[in-house]
Amino acid sequence: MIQTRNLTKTYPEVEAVKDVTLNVRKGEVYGFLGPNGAGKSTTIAMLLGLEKPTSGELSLFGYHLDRNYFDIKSAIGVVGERPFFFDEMTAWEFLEFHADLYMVESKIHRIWQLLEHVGLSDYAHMRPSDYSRGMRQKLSFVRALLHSPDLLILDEPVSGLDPHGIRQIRELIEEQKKAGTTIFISSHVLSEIERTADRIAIMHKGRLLVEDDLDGLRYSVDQSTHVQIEVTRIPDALSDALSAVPHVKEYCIQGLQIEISLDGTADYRAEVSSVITATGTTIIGMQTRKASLEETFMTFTDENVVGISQAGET
Amino acid sequence: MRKIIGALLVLGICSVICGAAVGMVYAQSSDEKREEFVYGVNAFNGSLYHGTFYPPSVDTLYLLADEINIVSPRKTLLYYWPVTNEYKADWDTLSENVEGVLEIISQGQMIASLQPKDYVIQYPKGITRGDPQIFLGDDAQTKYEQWSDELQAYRFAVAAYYEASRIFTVTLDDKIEAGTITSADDVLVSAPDRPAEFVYSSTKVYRGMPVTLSSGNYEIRLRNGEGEIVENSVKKLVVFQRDRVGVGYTVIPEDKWTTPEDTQRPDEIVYVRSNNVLYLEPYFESEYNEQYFVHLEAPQAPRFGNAGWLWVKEGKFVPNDLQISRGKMWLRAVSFEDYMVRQIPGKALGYEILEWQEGISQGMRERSPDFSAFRLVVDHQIQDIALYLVGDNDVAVGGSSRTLDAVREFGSGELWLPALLPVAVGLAIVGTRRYSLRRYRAVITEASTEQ
Amino acid sequence: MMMTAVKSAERIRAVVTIHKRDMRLALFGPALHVVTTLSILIAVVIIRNYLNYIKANGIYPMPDLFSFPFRWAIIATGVYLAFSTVVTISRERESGTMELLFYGPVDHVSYVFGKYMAQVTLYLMILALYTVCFLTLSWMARIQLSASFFIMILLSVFTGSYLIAIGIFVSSVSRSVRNATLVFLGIVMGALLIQGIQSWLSNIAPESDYYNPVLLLQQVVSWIQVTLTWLSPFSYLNHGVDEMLRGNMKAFVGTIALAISFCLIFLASSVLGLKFRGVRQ
Repeated sequence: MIQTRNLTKTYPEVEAVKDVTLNVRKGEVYGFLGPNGAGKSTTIAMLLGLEKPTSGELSLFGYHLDRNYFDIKSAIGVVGERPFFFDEMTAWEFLEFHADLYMVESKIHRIWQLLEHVGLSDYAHMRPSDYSRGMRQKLSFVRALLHSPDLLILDEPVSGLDPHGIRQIRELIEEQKKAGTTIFISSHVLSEIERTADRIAIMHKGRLLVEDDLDGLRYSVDQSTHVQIEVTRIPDALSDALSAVPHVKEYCIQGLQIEISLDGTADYRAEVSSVITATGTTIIGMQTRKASLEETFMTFTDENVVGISQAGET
Repeated sequence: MRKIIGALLVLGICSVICGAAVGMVYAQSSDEKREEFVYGVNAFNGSLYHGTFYPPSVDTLYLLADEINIVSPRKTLLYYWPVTNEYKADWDTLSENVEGVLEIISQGQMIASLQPKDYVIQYPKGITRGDPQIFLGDDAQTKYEQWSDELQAYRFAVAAYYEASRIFTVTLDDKIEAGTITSADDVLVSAPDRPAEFVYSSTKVYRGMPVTLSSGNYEIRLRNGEGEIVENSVKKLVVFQRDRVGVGYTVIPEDKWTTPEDTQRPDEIVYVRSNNVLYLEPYFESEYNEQYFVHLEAPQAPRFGNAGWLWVKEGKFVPNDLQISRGKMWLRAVSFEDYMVRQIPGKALGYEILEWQEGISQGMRERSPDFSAFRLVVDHQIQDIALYLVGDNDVAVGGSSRTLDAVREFGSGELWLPALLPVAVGLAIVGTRRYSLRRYRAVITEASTEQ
Repeated sequence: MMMTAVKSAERIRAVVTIHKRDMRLALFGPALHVVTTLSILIAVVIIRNYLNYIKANGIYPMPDLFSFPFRWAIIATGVYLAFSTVVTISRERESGTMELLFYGPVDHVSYVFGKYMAQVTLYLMILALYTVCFLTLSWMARIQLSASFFIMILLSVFTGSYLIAIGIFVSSVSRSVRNATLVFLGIVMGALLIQGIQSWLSNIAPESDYYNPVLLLQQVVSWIQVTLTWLSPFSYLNHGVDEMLRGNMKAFVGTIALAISFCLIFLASSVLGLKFRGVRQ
């Protein structure tokens, strides 16, 4: 759906994007992460043709933007980082304008349908400047969905929303995902990306560090499996027994809870469970915890973690 | 970088302005006279010969095409006159011919080499009536002598008249005293006739190069006897011709005959007040490039950026009847008559305009017409009337037509009414919009309250 | 060829949509109506002065009594529309709504032409309104509107469009509303100032013996004046009207052709300027 190769954007005093090669597949939700100033917005601007790349290749739907400008733009829906509206127009007029621009069929019906869906139908003839933040964001979504786009590009779609608003937006995203729309989301709200994205790319200082699904990302940061076991009592021999297990990387006993990091190459939980029960205690609970996206993200973008960064470059 | 460029720009502009101010002050404060080479020019301006000169600061001469113009290379004392912002020539102190040959160059090729000749400019009908005649070479001297002889004869005639008048007056007084005056001594009949005014005008015989060229751009220079180009003699020469010819009118309202208006452009409309009488005096005119013509008459005049076209009066004439029509319908013709202005006696200081008749006297002399014109009565029906002259072949004289429109009286507030239209349109559109927005908002507020 | 046709159709659609939107926004605001009202009011003042003069002096020959007031009204309106374009485009870039438009099937050409068509349509509508006002004035004063008046209306369409194109160009290359406003006002004031400076400098008789900065300044100002005469829509209007009144139809048509040419040049430059400056804040 979206393919870039060595995409670069250089400004006079800064190299905003350097050699970014990414691939967004049809129908997936692609999370695009990075700290502030990583180059995410610039990359999105290049995807949308708002900025011209300094070098590199870029194609959407398999076509070059310059050669198929109108076709490509007609198939993309965009929710920008900040919702922009025309001050003097009501919400209805605003949507009607965009419906005309995209040549939406049965535009009145379509606008009404979408407004009702997001709960804005009663406020259609008010100006967006009178809307709350959440209402404006929903209106932006409606605008982006008017023409049933094949590709949705969302830049910070839940930024500044309350939990109720976030949930509504998430539902909208999931609906579109079910409908087969390819969704490209750039966001700081990692928990939302974690819940919705099929694959994630992380940008840092203009470079694309990694592009993978969540499990793959976690694995590249931390190959261990973290297990939390609750037992009835802590025998004296427990520590020695655990130390003797070769697949136990480290462990920590806190009260009746044992936190163990196991070698992640295979599932060694059964072996560890046997060792623990052999010491004379009883396991009453076991939970496996994976590294969160936040931890993964922080690891990738931590400047001290040079090795991973370099791995990302290659 | 931008700040540096901006600062340099401001500095540059300030320097130039300061330099200009210094130059201006210097030029204005300098009152010394300097000996300079100039071109004295007698240029024909369509009706008269206009004498002027071109100082070194002016680089281009302007002359009319296909007319004899006189260019005289001279040396004089120049001084700057700040009152009129121009250089003046002290001809009285120094006015010396500069000998040489005037070369005329066109497109890099010399096309003429002119030697100086004697010339004289004369106005047989008087300088105010135009129609000058220029004589060159031997004819100049001959014509000048002829004029001198006629002037002398006139002076003798005037002297004889004064003497005759003196004798007549003395004789009349004696007869009155003696009581022997008879009807044969009627002053109007027997008083000596004053000689007709001598209007024949002439310049002295001067020396200069007669220049007659077709329109175009040239260069001139003076080459002296040693074959060198005289310093400051190289100048550009623009020779131009009239663009159009036409007829202009001096329009004299009967109630304000001392403040006539001129209509010179053929496209002009003469707007008049209803219930008025107008007198139209036609004259020939020609249209010239404004920049060129102004500098022909005033070489040191400032240049102006957006020069247009200028109509110049060239002389009166006796026309056929003035035709009046509206659209394609001919209405009537008005004849060209002589008129005189008669003061109304009494302290009202009024006057009346009457048709001149032969034989009416004023004082001891016969009254002559004050002006000749077409008389037009303007009533409220005069709207979009066309006036034009026809030639002897019954064809309209080009450039002579004018439209006449009488303006009606109106109340002081009436004219403001059309200005209400944009107000009405604006209020309708903006008002409708604001009303609909408020209405929707009210409906929504009501619905929310009900919920 | 098919692709080109499709591209043109998409572009036209974008132009029409932007054009409709901008027209609505302009009509719904009070500023345009205030300007048109003021323009007509001042035109009426001028006409009243003429009529009072005729009443007092009996006669007043002039090309057309309505010519100058009408010229004033359309120049004032043209300047306002150009200025409002300057402000609108810059503000859209600053506020982000330009970026919003470019999310969709809008490119630089369709954006510029959409804006241009909207202002030109407004100008034509205002011209029609003014024509009605002047027809009414003509009827009230019982003075015929001459053929030259209507030809001037025709000429003003092209010069007004040219002025609007200049406004679009200034806005497309300016960074912000403030910059765009300053540049536009600078151009207008500069054109007036140049005439005044030239007139002042022309009164200085230059020395010929030695180099004088006045001469250089006179020459520079003269060149600027000539350039402005070639570029200024006001001079095209005046020149075109003069040539039309002189019956020089060739020069009149030439004036229109030049106005159209420069208009297209400025529009093309606006597209390039927009591409160079970018659509994002």
